[in-house]
Parts: sequence; C-alpha cells; structure tokens
Amino acid sequence: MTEENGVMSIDFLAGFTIFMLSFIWIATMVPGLFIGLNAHGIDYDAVAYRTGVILVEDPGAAGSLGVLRPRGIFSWEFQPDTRDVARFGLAISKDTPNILNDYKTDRFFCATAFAYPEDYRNRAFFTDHPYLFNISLKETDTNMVRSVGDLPPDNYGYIRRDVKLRQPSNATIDHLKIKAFGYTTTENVTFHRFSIVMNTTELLNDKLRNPAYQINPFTDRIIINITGLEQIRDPAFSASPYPNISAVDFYQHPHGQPSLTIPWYPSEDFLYEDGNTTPVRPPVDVHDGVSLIFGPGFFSTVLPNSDIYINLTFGMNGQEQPYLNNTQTLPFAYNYDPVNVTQPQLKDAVLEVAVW
Amino acid sequence: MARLMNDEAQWIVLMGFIVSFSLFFLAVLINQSTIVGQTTAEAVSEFPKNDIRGVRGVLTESTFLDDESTYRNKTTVQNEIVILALSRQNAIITISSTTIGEYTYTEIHYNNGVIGYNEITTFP
Amino acid sequence: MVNEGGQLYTIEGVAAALLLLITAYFIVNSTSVYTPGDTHISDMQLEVLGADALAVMDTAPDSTVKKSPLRQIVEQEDSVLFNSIFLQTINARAGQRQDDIQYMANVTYVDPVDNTATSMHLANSSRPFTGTEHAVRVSRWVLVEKTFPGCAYTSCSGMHAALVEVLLWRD
Repeated sequence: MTEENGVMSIDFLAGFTIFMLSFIWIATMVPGLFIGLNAHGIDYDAVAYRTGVILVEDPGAAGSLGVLRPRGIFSWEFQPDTRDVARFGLAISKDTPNILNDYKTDRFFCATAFAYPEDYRNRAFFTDHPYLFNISLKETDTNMVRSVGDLPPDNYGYIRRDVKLRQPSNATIDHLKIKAFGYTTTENVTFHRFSIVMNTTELLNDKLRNPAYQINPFTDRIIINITGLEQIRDPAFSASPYPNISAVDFYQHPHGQPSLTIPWYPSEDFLYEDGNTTPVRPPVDVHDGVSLIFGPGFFSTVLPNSDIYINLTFGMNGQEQPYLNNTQTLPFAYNYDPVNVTQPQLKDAVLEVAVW
Repeated sequence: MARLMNDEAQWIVLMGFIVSFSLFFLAVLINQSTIVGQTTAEAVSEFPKNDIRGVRGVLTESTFLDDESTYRNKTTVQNEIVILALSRQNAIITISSTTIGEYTYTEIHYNNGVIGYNEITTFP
Repeated sequence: MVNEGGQLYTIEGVAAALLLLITAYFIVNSTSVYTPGDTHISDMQLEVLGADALAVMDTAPDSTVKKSPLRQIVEQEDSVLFNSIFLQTINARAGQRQDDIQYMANVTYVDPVDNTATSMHLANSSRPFTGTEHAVRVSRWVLVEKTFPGCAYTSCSGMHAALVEVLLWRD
C-alpha cells in the first residue's frame, strides 16, 4: 500500500511548480519598475533653482558670531573669519533683487577665502546630500567669466539668471577739470593742500535712496584718480625736481562737533602713483598722476552723518611754486554730480548654477 | 469532504498574498516619487512672485503721481492697474489711501484666488 | 498511485500564481511614464529667465538716466531695439554657445472707450509664433507716458499703466 508520510504527491509538486515559476517571473519584472528612479537625481533642478534664488535675490547673512568686528560692518562680505558667514547672497539688498554687489561677488568667487565644495555647501545649499556644483558668472560686456566648482557631467540640474552687476563709482580729476574748478593757485608756497570731501548725509540720507545707485562711503570701493599733474606745473620750474606727496590725512567731521581724525590702518595701502600696480606710502614723488583706491570698508569706522575729508599735502622740495591746491576754493565733492563723479554703473551679467 | 478542506497548502496562497502586497506598496512609493519634480516646479510657477512685485512697484510709483484736472494721472493709472490685473493676471486689487497728519497710508490688497497679499505703506 | 489528496496543493498553487500575475499586471499597467516635459521644470526655468530678462531691461544703467530702457522702448514702440536687447539678454550664456529662445512681445493697455484690456504688438523674434509652440508667458508692469493707438480722448495722454507680455518658447 502507498503510504502518505514523506511522499510528495504529484499534485503538490505541480501546484508548487506553477507557483514558483510565476513568482520567479514576477521577481524578474520588479527591477523594471525602478527604471528612472534616482532619489537624488530627481531634484537637481529644484536645488539649482533654490541656490539661484539665494544667490541672486538675497543679500546674505552674517552669522550670530558676527559681533562688532574691527570694521564695525555686519554684512557677510566684511567678516574676516569665514565661520561668521551664515549664508551667501550677492544682491545689494533685499529690495533690489537681481542687482549684485561687486564686493560680495568678489568675495564669493575668491578661492582663497572659501574652499570648494564644503564652504559653499554649508552656506548656499543647505542639503543633506553632498551635491557637486558649478556656479559661473559672466559679464556680457567684457566676456569675463568667474566660476567656482567642477565641470558638469552630462546629466545635471540647471538654472540661469540674468542679473545686473554694479560697478563702483570713481572720480577722475584731470587737468581740464582742475582748470574748470580753479584748483591751481597762483600763490608760491612750499606746501600745497588738496582736499576731497564726502558728505555722508548727502550721499545716504538725501534724495537718492535706491541702494542700487547709492554711493555708500562706508562699504563701497572709492576710486579717485588725479591725472595731468605734469601739465599744471609752472613751466618756469620744470627743471626742478618733481613734487612729492608728503602726507595723506583723514578727518571726519560729524555735524555740530569738532573734527576728529579717522584712524588710518597702516596695513591698508591705497596710494598708487602713475598707474603702477604696487601701492606706495608717502612721501613719494609725483610725476603725472596719483590714484587713491580705498577698498570696501576703508571708512567703516567713521561716525554716521559725518563729512569725510581726505587731505593730500604736496611738498615742493623747498621751492615756492604754484601747484594743485584747493584751499582757496571748495574741497572736491565726491557726490552724485555726474560732472564730478562717474556714478555707479549697472552692467549686464549672466549667472548659471549647475548641480549634480 | 473533510479531506478536501485541508489547511496544509494554504501557505502557498499566503506567500502569494505577501508578495502581492509588497508589490502594491512599492508601486505606491514609485508613483509618489515620480511627481516630486513636477510639484516643485509647479509650486514655483504657481506663486505669483513677479506679479506681486510688479503690481506693488507700479502702485507705489503711482501714489507719487499728481491728480491734475487735465489728465488725472493717479486715478487713471490706478484704475488701469486694477483692470489689467483682473483681465490679464486673474487678480483682484483694491487700493485705498488715508492721510493722517503728515503721514499717508496706502493699503494694497491683492488676491488671485490662490494667493493673497496685503500691505500698508507709509509715506514719508 | 495517483491520489486526489494533493489536489488542494495544486489548487492553492494555481490560485496564488493567478493572484501574483493579476497584481503584477495591474501595477505595471498603472505606472505612469513621466517624460521630462510633464514635470514642467523646463517651463519654470524659462519663466524665471524671461522674468529676469524683463527686470534687467527695466533697470536704468545708472542714476543719471531717468527712464529705464524698457519704458523708453514702450513709449516709442521701438521694436528693433527691443528685439536686439531682449534676444541678447535672454540667450546669453556663461559658456561660449548662445541659447536659442524665441519670443513674441505685446503691450497690453486699457482702452478708455470701454475700459477693457487691449493688446498691441511690440516685437517678435525671427521665427513667428504659429500657436503650436509650447510657450510660457512672462509679464512686466510699466508706467509710461504715452498715447496708445486709436485713442481719442483727452485722458489719452499723460501717464498710463501697461503690461509688457512676452511669450517665450524653445524650438
């Protein structure tokens, strides 16, 4: 007789075979359901868009450690310690989206200040997954491209923003302007003084309030070029040695108070002679021109609502002769008059963010 | 009869059920994940950020126009803004302005059916 | 030898197999195929770009210029200038190759006769709009001092609000 114990019936085998075959077939179809599913690849574009908005429409933030630093300016681009930068943002202010600040852009793309990719991930991306990225800024006029990051592979998320990049203001005092303003004197003295004034109340709190067009002496780069000095020398003294700049003094004059001196950081060089690229310190001989280039934040310790005076003293080597001098007239005003100062220009640029 | 009702093979169907349920669960997961990118992009496009910025900008500019009898610039412009916003951007805008002492308060209400924006600007 | 005692196994096996097959069929049939176009990400990118381009055109280059280029263009209906500035702005890329985005721009204003919104054609790119392109619309509010065409009232001159609307598409 056939025993049932330990014997697999044919029917059981048949049923189990059918089950196993269909299960195997289903199991081979499961990987097909996962085609195109890539957990991090699906939001490359979203991360790129968000980073684009943070960079272009947000002015950035200094961290909570950004207490009063030697500069006294709280914006993130002036923090010397990169740990005090909480979030990047290139816009001039939150009311001027798509208009970028030149110093913020310089700091953002500065390879010595921030390291790719960690410093940027913590301050512009805010994601768990470590994305790789490439951020590029191209100025349309000059075709100059600045970028941070690697070259993108074939598949990446992308956003492109059109922006305006703000150029700093500058003043050029050439010999025509010197004549027009009457800045040469007929006195014969051995020391001549030339003054430049910046009235911060007029610059910041008067009629022009749009931060995109304002000249902010506390935070902007200020450039003053004086040229044509060879042509204003008296020809009778052309054989004598060149005059020199013996001193550059700074004064701040808060309204209603006596003048104080602005502390001048000896480490901040600003005097450039005759178009040379290395800065010099007075006393220095002057041939045809000098440039005073004050970096951003140079005047940041000045009290608000003060007038800032920059006095250049020219020494004539003991010989009494006329030269550049405006003690008899008014100091040269660095203000919103387009005759005096080339106003800050907004130039077209393109910012691209690629994330992968 | 009793022989036919045997529970011994029910584990086969049980395994079948378990596999089916896990497949359904995976299908639901995948269905949700493929629309992540879509809803992000749609949320960005749906929010009328540039519309609100633009309306706010021109309305603020219009408060500084004058209302001379010849052109009535301020009233004309504000009426035009309301008409254009309704017909081209599907948004209802109301503007009201009150002057108390030396301050002028301008209220702006914007509503496009999904997003509402209200603001009071003070001048000076 | 052949016993019907194991028939239940067969039946159960077949039932389980059927269950799995039907489940798999339903699931595979219901998985939607999402093309990149369905996600509207490219539409969002184009909208952001168009809004930026109009914003950049509506910004004066410095404080001495009182009217932005866009407002001057609308006041003078200068379609050639709009075409050159807009195409250059929207197709500029950080790399060497330029992009290829086409557009059609209108200005919408209010007709004082019946207080309705009326459109006036401003400019378009070289490839015309046929209606079959997948386009996005961006708009920018401007205040201009202009008498719009076909207007005969005294309120026609003076300041007016207008909406510059641009349709953008990639070929």
